Amino acid sequence: MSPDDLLTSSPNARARALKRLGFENPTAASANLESLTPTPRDAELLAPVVPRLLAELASAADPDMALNNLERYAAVVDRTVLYRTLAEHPGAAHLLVRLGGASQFLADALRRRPSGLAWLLEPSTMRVWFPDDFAADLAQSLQAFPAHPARLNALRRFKYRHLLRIGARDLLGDADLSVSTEELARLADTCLGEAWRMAEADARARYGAPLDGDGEPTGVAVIGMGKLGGEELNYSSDIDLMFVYGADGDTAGGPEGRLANGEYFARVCRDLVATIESVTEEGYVFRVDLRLRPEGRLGAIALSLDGFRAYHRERAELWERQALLKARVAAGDARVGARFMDWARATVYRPGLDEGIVPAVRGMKQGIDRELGRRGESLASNVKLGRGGIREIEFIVQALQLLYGGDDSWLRERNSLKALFRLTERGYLAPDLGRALSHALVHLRTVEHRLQLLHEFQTHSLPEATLELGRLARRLGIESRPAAAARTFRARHRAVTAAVHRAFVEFFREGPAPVRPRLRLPGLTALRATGFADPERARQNLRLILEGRPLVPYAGALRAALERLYPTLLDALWKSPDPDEALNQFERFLSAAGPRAGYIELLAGNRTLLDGLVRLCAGGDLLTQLLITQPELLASLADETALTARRTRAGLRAALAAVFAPATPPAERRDRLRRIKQAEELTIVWRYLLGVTSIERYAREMTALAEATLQTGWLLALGAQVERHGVPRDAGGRFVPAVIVGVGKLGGRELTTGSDLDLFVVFGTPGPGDGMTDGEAPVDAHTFYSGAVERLAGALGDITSAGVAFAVDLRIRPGSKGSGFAAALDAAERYYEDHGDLWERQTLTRARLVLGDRGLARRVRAMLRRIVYGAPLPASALKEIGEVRTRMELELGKETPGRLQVKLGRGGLVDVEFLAQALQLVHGAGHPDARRTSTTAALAGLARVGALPVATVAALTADYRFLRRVSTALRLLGARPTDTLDLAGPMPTRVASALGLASRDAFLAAYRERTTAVRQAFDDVFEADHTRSQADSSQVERSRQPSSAGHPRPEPGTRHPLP
Amino acid sequence: MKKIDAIIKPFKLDDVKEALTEIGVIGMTVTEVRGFGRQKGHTELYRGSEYTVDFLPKVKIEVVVADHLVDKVVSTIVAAARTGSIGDGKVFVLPIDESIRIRTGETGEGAV
Repeated sequence: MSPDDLLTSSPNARARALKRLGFENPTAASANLESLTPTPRDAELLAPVVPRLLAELASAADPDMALNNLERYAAVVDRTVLYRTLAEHPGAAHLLVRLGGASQFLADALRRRPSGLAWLLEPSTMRVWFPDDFAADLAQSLQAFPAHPARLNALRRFKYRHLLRIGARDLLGDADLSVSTEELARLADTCLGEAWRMAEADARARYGAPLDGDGEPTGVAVIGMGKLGGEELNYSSDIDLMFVYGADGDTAGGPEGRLANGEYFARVCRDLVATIESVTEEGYVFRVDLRLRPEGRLGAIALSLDGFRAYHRERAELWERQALLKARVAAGDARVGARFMDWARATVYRPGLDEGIVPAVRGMKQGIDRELGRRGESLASNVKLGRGGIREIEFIVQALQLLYGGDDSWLRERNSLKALFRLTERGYLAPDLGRALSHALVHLRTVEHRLQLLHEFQTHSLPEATLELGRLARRLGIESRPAAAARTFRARHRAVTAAVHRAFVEFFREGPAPVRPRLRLPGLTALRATGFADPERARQNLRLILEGRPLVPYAGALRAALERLYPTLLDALWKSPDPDEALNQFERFLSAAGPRAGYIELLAGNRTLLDGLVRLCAGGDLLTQLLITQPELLASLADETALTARRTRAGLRAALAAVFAPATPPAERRDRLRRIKQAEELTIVWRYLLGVTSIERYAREMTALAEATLQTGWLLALGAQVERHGVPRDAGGRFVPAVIVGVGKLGGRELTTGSDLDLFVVFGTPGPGDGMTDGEAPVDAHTFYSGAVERLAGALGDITSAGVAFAVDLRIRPGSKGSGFAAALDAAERYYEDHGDLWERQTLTRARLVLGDRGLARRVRAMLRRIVYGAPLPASALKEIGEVRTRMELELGKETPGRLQVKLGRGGLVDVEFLAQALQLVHGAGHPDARRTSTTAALAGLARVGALPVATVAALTADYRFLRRVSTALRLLGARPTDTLDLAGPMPTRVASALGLASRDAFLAAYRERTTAVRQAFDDVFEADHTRSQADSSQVERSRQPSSAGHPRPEPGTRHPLP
Repeated sequence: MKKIDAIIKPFKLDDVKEALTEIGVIGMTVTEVRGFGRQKGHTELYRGSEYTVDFLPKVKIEVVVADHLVDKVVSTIVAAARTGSIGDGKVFVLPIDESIRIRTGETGEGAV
């Protein structure tokens, strides 16, 4: 029977057909179909949609439920409108069926607010929403409702609308687990912020502002804990909260008198919780759990900062300290929040290796074991608490964070998945183990998420019945009949939990009593005498090398090799420029190499290699990091000739050709691309660190590597697109070509380690109606190339088991949001002419044709020349550029007396870049010589055309070079966030030694002198005093705000949520 | 007496309904409709599929009120229905000659 006949055939025949499609209860389904079309007119309208609808239903996780929900939805709306929407809108049927077939509670939510469907079908709805977007939408949703009860309802409508959006994107596969759970947390933050404002405003009007002992105003911060804190909220999670206020005191007094702060804030917080939790006719916002606060249920609802301090000093247990790992300021008074977080960080992360943690953690682990022993049966199907469940992974993560986060601030991450990634990145987990645990956590969290998505129950147990389990498996994307899907799922799930539990047991296994090392550790005095600045730490490191880290033990076989290595190692360390750091990094490398004794043997047997490695360890975190992910690269460091040969684009391309070896599966191609890129980068960095190359040569080699990698990724992306769609051709049958335009550091050939690739893609303009592809699923050229760009971003930027190649940044592309990822040449030119802002024109000073069709490249170059240099920028417009720079410095640079920002800070790299670019816009029109894409070449060009004095350019170039070296050193030394220099830590000294300067002070003096000179030159050009006072943030359109000139907001698909 | 026709984005219906109730409007007629204004004709990209925007689902609200309430009702609708983006809709105000409550035969404003 054809689908068209379904509506008109006899009930029995219809039931049989429905059975074949996978409906468990065909009779009910048949009745549902019938009630979808009570009148002939309805049947007529629905008929064209039926084939697609049935196909969608058949592939739904639970077809019966999907159809049932569709019928119930149709019953509450105007069928005529609904069926026409289903017929005309490409996403309507898919969305309704997916939602109704996987989540009863989302289907119910939609049925209660049926008019939300049209919103979900707007393109601008279905994207990642950022905190700003949420805030703006909420403000809009509440503006018409000043009165309290109506406001509560509007808040609830806002929440359900976004819950539906997040759920829909999740179920449609547009957002992965981390994006969905992060958005849910942002939604909660936004609602909490509003609830806080309402409660605080009300209390303030009654009792006046709360004041601390000194009469200064104080406030309360809403601290998110647990999954809210970790930004990993599920649909049905309660939100764990604590409230902290600044200090005790009294309120200023109001119409209803004066209150002690404790009482005042208790009132505010109770109000806040009621705003969130109370059930009105529009439902509730979130359920709140306050039991993580000091004293739990018995404690005060809000506690002062001092109260928290005292409690943790006197009575808190380890689990409470552990819970603080996840604390995050979700809403409320930002100043109090920041002070709370400072305290929480200091409480959770204590410097040095806290040996006491290990037994305490073991004790907690035994508690888990006992519980499993007692309740093992009932927990067998529990994905959270069961054997090999989420708790075991989180326990490993948090134990390592508590142990090592004190010394290594990079580990201080609230989100479990990101924390796993960082622990692996830093070598606390062996790469294989880290990857396996990440994979397992994603699996388990997705299962939990999909379990709870059905009914919004807080369940963690897998269903027992095969049919239900099969439906769960189908919700997880396993595409087969329920029974088979259940089998596939069981096997997959068993493998994951077994691996996790094995890791968990292994991790906490008590090793054999430590064998007393046969080698003696050098005394502190001896260590100091041989050049260690921190002999305690050095001794500790040496002990770790010989005995292994607690909870990260070495295999016994390794020990013998280590003992052979030990004497030569000490000797190599003493000769290294920075013995302390060399030893730190060497220890990390060893612990990450794990049980692979081969590397130690290699080092013990090759003195030159060991010397080289120790020197490199002294040179930075980053290199050790590369080695940690691919210890096998160690061998390549031993090859002298490979390291002295220049890295050229052609040579790199030849190396990358291995990606295309025949019979390589696509996933392996991506991994191989990453491994080759990392190996080449290691060599490039090595050459720079050992002084073989200058900073310029190093950047050129990194750029060549990026271009070769881009070319490989672009071929992979095009190959996949062509396979699916064929080749786009114009009316004459000619191929419609494309080019990649690099901007930013890629355009200026100034890439360093860790730089993103800023680029956009332009394709040739096909005639009207032309440009369709000639393959099986034809699409137009725009769709073809947009898809190719997305694939390119994934081919290079997705995090696979081999890491990333390059993050691709597509945000500086011509075209508005939602207009795809590639632009036709004429559309790009129109866009720049009609909508291009000054900052976009400015970024194009760095545009360089990186690869693609030569003929088209010439035309694109000519177009860009017209846009950028067609007419000189009037000198009066410099003011606008100066304002953007001021905002970047204040809003993104955020320098403090203790923290410098080499890129965005005062007198930083951006000062030089903006100065050069602005003058290029003014003088480039008349002087082609000034149109260079690299900053130093642009400066030289500006000097030649007389736009800047030669002496100024010489000084600026030297300063720029210096800052680039500082920035690169910071990156290689692993400073996070990138380009920030904390004066308090060891970084200044290490940068000084990387730059070959005598001391920390010499470096900082040079830094100050040079940045002051740069800022002076900048001010001379921009008359900064004049512009500064007039910087007005409101003048700039929000979505293209200038903090976005260099860094617009991320978009889906271009960046992985992991760091 | 005036009749106010508001064509709005469907998801704003509940907001507008609640806002009107807040200012004491107790009756209204709501219809799901399809229509187009300046949005027609262009193509949109929804989750990777391109489609031509033809008729868009909208909601039409009809309210009849006494003359002195017209401004308040209109501004309430506008405030509650506005998102600032294209497709927010329109409000029309029409004169009403007469109204009759069918059950009682009352006429004029009392019948509204």
